[in-house]
Amino acid sequence: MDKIKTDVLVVGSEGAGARVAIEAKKLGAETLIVTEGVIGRCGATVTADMDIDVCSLHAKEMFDLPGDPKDTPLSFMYDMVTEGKFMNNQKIVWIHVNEAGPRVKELVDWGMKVEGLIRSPGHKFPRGIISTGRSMVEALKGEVKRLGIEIVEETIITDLLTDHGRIAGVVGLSIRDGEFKLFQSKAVVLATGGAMRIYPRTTAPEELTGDGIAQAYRIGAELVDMEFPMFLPACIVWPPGMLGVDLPYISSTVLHGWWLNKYGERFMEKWDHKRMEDTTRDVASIAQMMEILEGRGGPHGGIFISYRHLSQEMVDYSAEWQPWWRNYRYGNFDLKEYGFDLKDHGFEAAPASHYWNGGIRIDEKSATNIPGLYATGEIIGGNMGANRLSGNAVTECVVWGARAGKYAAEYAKKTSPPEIDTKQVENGRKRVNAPMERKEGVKPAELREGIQTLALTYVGPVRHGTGIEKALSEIEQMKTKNLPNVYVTAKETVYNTEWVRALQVESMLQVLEIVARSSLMRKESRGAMYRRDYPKTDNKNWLKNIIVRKEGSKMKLMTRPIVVTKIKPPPRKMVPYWVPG
Amino acid sequence: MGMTATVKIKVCRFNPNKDKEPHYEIYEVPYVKGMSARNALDYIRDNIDGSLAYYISCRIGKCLGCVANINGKNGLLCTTPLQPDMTLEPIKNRQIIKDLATIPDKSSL
Repeated sequence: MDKIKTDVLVVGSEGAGARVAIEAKKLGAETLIVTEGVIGRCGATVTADMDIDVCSLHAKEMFDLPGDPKDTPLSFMYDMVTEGKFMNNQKIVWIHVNEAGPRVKELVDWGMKVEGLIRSPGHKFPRGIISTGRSMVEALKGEVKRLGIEIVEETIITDLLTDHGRIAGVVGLSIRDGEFKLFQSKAVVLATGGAMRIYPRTTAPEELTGDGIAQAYRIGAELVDMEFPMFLPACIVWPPGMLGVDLPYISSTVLHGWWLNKYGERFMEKWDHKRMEDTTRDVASIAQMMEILEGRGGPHGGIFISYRHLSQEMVDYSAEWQPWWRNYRYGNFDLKEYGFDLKDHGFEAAPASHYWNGGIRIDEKSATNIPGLYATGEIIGGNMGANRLSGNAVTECVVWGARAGKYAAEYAKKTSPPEIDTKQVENGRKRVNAPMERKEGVKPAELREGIQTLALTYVGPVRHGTGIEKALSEIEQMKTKNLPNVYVTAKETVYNTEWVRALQVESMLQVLEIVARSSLMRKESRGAMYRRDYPKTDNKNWLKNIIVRKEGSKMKLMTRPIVVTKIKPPPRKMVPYWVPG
Repeated sequence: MGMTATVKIKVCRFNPNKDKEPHYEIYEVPYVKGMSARNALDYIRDNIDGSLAYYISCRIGKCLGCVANINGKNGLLCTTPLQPDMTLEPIKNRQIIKDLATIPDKSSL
């Protein structure tokens, strides 16, 4: 077997991964990108239609946009920490707010188009630089090519290798040729995004199955804030071709639909009678999910969004003047072709998994607790805390991408090449080949669906201790009965996407278990996590983070005090989860 | 899902390691209005032939990775509505990895 050697190996090629590679290469490190897709054609960054946050003062000074000079990094930090419900690591946030401007400016220097500046909900000042995910990934791709950074595409990493506790490399499967691959590297940077695909409804791309999180966990990396997956309300659940499309949510700001349950009741009345459908997105997600879980949803498990209270002309007029859904086209979808006539039929919609607030715990150097292992972008935990501000995910990619690249390169420079443990490599090979060698058993699609149903029902936008316990017992069944029997039906090794899915389900199940256990431990509701059995925010007992780490074969959960530097936490008492507007 | 109707679609199959030239397979898949071509391919891969190869990432028309030749025209598998008697082929002038999966022109490889 060929062994590819490098100084810095980056897993992931988009907003975060490409930025890591650019920095490491510029600092003289031999750098290699390995990505599951094709650069510029995969990952979450390209799906963003997008505001990129920088301090409003920086927007004015660095970008010549109508930013507000009253904004300061500290004020930006205040908004992040209050939105994150004080779960954020404030040392990390302080770096984020200060470096956002310069890092986003580099993207513009590399060719990213800027179309303006907006103030999104949760921000006191206009901080959202308007661009598109496409424009951003093209700028990064251009820079990656200009620097001559080597890329291995369509290769899924399946295991991280260690040498006496420090990182030694990775192994994986090349999808294009169906071969097992070994990479030796002094430093490894994970930029593989969140695990949104553990849920059946998501705005995230196919490959965001939490592989990086599960792999890091398996070698002892600490995870933090894993109980806070974030949901976007009002994403399409039907028809199947448009599952997870966020149009009803996006359009709610310009065309005010009514959210109805199957009895035709405008259920937001019960939740936020003043703001109704304009409530915050966490409350909107909870309200929609309660209707669905309590049997008041539609035939496809969503709630209804109706525009019948508006005149037909108004609905048509909206699709005329709104550039992003002109002539009822949204993205590349033609709504009419998909059977939508919004004057007669509304959307059936539900909350969709949108962003991963928690993840691998990092320090100020974007380093994990495993020497040589770095993490960046959506996969990290600690930056956003319990909830993320609009527009901050892409900023996170470049601020922490550049940091991870810098410190991984510095680490690689001063370290000797690690030894490859052939036993670990052979174990990795066996794990990859096992579903291919089994002749019968459980299909990946079947287990994937089982995991997703469980995640949505018990560990979704609305949770309850009894439900989480039920989920955990079913997860245990899946781990012992189904996972060891996952098999690939077709034995063709080249470009076998069922094989890829067979490898992903293990990560999905692992991440779901971590989310469930963390959620069960946190006996309160906060940020993106709502528990029906503990519906208040408990600042007396729960101003702390939950850390998850593998010890031996056991999953260990522990709490640590939140990291506070500049923003004083609220008084230590119980408070309502939200106050109706 | 209460699906009763079906459609037949024709998919170009080609494995350069085994086949001398491409051939076509016809698949019958359950149909409801509002399915995409991608939904049909997922159904085939998960229920009929797990070896069917095609590239999907964002599945909402943004990554542009799933471009294919659909009824003789280039389009995206994820946003093109499924229709009866549809023909799906790899995009022309690209190296075929397998079936509908191709190496993009701008790829680093």
